[in-house]
Amino acid sequence: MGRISNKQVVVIGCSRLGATIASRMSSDGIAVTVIDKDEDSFRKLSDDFSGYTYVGDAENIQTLTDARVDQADLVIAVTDKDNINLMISEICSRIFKVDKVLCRIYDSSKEPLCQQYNIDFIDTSKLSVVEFEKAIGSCI
Amino acid sequence: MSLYRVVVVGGRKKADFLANALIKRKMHVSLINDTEDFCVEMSHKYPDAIVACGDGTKPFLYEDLHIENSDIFIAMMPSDADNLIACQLAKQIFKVKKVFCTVSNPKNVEIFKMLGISNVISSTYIVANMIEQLATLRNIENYIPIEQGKVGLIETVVEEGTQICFKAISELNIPKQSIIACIIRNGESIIPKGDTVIYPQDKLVCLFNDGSKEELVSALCKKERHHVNH
Repeated sequence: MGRISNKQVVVIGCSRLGATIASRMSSDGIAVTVIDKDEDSFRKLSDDFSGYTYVGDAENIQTLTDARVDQADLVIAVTDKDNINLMISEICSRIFKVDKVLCRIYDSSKEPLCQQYNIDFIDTSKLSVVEFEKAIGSCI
Repeated sequence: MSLYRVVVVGGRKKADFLANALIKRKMHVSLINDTEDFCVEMSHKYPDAIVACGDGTKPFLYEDLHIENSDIFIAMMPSDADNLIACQLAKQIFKVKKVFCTVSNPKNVEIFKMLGISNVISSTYIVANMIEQLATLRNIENYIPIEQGKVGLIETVVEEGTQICFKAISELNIPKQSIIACIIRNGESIIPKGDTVIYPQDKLVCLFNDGSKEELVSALCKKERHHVNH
């Protein structure tokens, strides 16, 4: 807590996951901007969230430029659509040259594409499977 | 002889029209669409085509249809992101030789090019540009932008009493960055040389670099002085 950092982080998609990551980083003293096309979704952010919120469709590059994603040190793409996360990740890393880009995917069959384009991804369904298997293994 | 294999993903009327044209050319067509009734309709209409119903960005569909090493892949889904990912999968993972996609946001033409998809078509961009050019330039019958309008092609009919009438191409005062590529006279096409003379009612097909269009059009349309002053 209270870690001082001058890094700029942009979280795209204020889903449960996005909101939680953004809230935690914000309370850690990191400058966070959250983008979502639905203003209502920002209610999921914690009460003490002190970052910026930006309403816009991240599939449109103008939104990314306006939210100054090109200035970010870290971008986390966690919208509910795999293809949009992948497209945003490619734009951020290959066009905006953002140092670190993380992408959430649900569909493991898109992994070869991530590898092809060097996209850092977190496959949430695979993670759940691992956890479930662990839980199952300990009770059988 | 190996068949030319084309995969068309998404699109309704556009997909139907394309499938029709491609099948007529004896190509092997696979259609992927997420609307079931459309798929049923297509499979009745084109018994030779392979029709699959589902999300057009799923690799397992591509595997089932054996699209690997196809000649052409065309993505026309409503979401630009879906089209990008479908094209990248087709190109990088399934080694399709040529990929095309449409985009709804004209800005994505350049973005997709930077991301390795070079054949991107924005109908919004093309149509808006055509209307703008046709509405603002008098005497221009047709305008086709090439390379996002960096190069353009126009058609114009030579009016009676313009300065260019009865002059040879070499005498014309048109911008350096433009050429008269073709003359259509009485339905016949002529590729002009420096000594080709221009007559009234000739249709000129001109090619120009961005920035020389206004100058070119005004050179082609300028009236003889005594006509202006009478």
